[in-house]
Amino acid sequence: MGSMKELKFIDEKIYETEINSLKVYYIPKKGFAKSYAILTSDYGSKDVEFSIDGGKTFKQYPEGIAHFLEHKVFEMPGGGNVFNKFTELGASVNAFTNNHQTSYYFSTTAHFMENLKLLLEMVFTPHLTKENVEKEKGIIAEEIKMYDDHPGFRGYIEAMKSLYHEHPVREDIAGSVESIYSLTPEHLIECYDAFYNPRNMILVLVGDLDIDEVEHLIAEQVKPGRPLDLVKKIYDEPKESLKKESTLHMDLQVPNYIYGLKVINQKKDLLLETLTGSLLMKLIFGSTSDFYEENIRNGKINDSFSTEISLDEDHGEIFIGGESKEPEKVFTLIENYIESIKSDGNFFDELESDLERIKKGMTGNFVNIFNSVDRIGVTTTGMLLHQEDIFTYVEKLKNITVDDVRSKFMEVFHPERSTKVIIR
Amino acid sequence: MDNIGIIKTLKFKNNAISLVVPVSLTENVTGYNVLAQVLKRGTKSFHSSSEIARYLQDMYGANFDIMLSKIGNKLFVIFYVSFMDNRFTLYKEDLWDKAIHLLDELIYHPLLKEDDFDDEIIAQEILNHRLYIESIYDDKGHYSMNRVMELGLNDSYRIPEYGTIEELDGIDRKALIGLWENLKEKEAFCYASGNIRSEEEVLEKVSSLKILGNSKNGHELTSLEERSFNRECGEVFEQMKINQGKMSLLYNTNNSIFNGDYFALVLFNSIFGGGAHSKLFNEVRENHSLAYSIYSSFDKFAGVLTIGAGTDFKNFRKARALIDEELDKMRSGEFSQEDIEVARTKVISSLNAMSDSIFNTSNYLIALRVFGIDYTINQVIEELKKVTKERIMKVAADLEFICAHYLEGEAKDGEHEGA
Repeated sequence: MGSMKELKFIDEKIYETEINSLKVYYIPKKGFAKSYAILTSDYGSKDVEFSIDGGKTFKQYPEGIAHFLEHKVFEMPGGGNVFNKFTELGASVNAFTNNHQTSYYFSTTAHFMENLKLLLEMVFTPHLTKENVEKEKGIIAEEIKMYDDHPGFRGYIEAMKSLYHEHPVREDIAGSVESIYSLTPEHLIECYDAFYNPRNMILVLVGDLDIDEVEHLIAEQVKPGRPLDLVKKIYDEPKESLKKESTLHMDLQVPNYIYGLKVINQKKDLLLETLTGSLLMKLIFGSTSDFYEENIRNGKINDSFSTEISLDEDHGEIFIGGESKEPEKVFTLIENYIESIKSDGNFFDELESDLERIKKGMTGNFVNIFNSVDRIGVTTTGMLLHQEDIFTYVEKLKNITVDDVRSKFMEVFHPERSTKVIIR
Repeated sequence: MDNIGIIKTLKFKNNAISLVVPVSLTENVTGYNVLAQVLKRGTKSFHSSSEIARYLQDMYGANFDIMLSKIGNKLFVIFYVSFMDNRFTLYKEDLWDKAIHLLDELIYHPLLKEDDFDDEIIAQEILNHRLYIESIYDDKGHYSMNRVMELGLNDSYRIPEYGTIEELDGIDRKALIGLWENLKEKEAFCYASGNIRSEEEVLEKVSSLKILGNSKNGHELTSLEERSFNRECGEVFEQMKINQGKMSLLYNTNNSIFNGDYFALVLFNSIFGGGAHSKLFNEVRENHSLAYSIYSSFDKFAGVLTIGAGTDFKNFRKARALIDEELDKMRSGEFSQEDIEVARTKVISSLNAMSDSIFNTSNYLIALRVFGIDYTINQVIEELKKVTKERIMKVAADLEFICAHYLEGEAKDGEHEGA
């Protein structure tokens, strides 16, 4: 199968090939009962405006369309519940949509080939009718309402809406009840045709598989995609956040808080930037940081306190959040701490040994991914879509210095790019 | 030592120790929750949770937690640590001893017993747990499910695994020390898994945890106390500021792993509401678009089944009628042999897949041991293969509705709420 790369220190391999314009990756896992396949379209909730003629004309679609399409891909001509078919074959099938991808996956302990065939058939045979599109609107409206009652989710959306002026990551992945009710089968077919092209997709396979047989099946099932002239709209997003503070009222017993930061990423190496950012967040706010230790001790935060960094090609965010009866006080703590680091020229110099220990922990966490076929599939897919090279993960991590982390800190922490959200 | 099990496997990068101390649900569930949090705040050698976190980072990002899980009439206090095998550590360091040292510290040397232990930390963890219990109220599906248990049960199984505010009010330093003293003397169960070259060596290391030498206390292992259901409560409606209604239904299965037809119950639940292939999912969600999520699940050690659904308030009646209709069909045999085979394949497949997770395998096996059940996973699979349609119809007929809890939006006084 195509080319092979090795992750020698943990005894893992990845094979890569292209079959009828579909990029296929295989990670063998001997001895595992489960095998796993995940087929992904490089199409997410943020791709609501795009051109199919190389950028001459752009068309805009209702928010939530990628997620709606994900639901509808499970319809197959002739009706019948495709979930049942997978279940009959011993597999669990599901899908998810995020800002930048739509993925369909199954795991199984038997009949891998039949399941893979079914997955490919399902994704590459759209069946969109007026009736089945209408039917789905009620289901998705219930899904949206379910998330609307979820404080963490509402807070995240509010933070994204406060950080961004126009970039569509500020919208809910599922759209709104209004936007999905405005969807038509024609909208869905146009988006399907644009993005569900093998050239715009990747397939990752994990398990103990006969790869020649698998390749043969893919060659039979997947027709080469038409040449793509797809251009996604690029958004000219200001550096500053749109809104500095907001409060949502949900009658909560325990308020949630989110301190958000918009991260402007100008560098090319997304993996390196993400690793440096993660090290930074762990160093200053992680469970082994002085900030955490001191404020847990004095009861100002509790173990719901956590941080997250996520960087994409055209957007990036840092979130610091948790639950507290006095969220304003936690914001003050966070902001004062950031200011104190800025004014302490030696802050990072004293963290050399912490940095090395955190790297050791992160290396272990990376190795841990390879204990689960599902996690290997999802992580590999995410990294491939971001053009991140999984083989350089540990090497890049190892080479990050205290100076790199310090510059990252200076680069990202600007009050004018921040927002504070309280959900009560 | 039949309370210690070993799973030898080379397919993971990690090794793991899962140590479970079962306590009774009547013994102060809330207190054990707070105790678990206090234990994680520090020990004689690790003075804070951050020091424990540093120790774990230094073990190449080892994972450790104390988890609480309600299984049958027990609360399982689970000490779990997983750590890199020395095939992959940088200098071939072996981390078994470090892992056992951590468990020993947490169980035997918490700062709780030291005179210098900060009363403030105890107060903080009591307060944190209060926040945690209150925050469940903010998770509406979870809240409704707990309410239906409280409403429909009179015995200890009605207590949620995180406890109650009332019980929390009685907890102080003295009570926590009492619970800790008690915990140390209880019978404990353990699985050590991973790249085990010498079984004896690992057994010896693990056995150095004194708790694993505790003898069986006769009163500990009563299998199944009779459920006491509150059949009077019927249907309860509650209002909150929410967008989507939540419906929770409680049933007595009259079958469990201890008595009756457990294996038929497993297949019944799978066909009825156990996933996207099930009757409830297809009828309520796919055919009538009434819900995004609808499922049924049961506790094999408790004989209790629940159905949970998120649906628009105005559709409560419709959804409920569909559920009853589907249950009637199960009782009268209106399901096909194919439905049975799909469910059987699904359940067996997930049992086979369990071996891909150290955590799931060890905790599944420990639960069986705790309740004195002798089945191996293979035996369970063999028994599932024998289940017939008649047996499934029988467990469907045995299912007894106890009560329902409906969470609906508040009446609106002309005020416009979001979508």
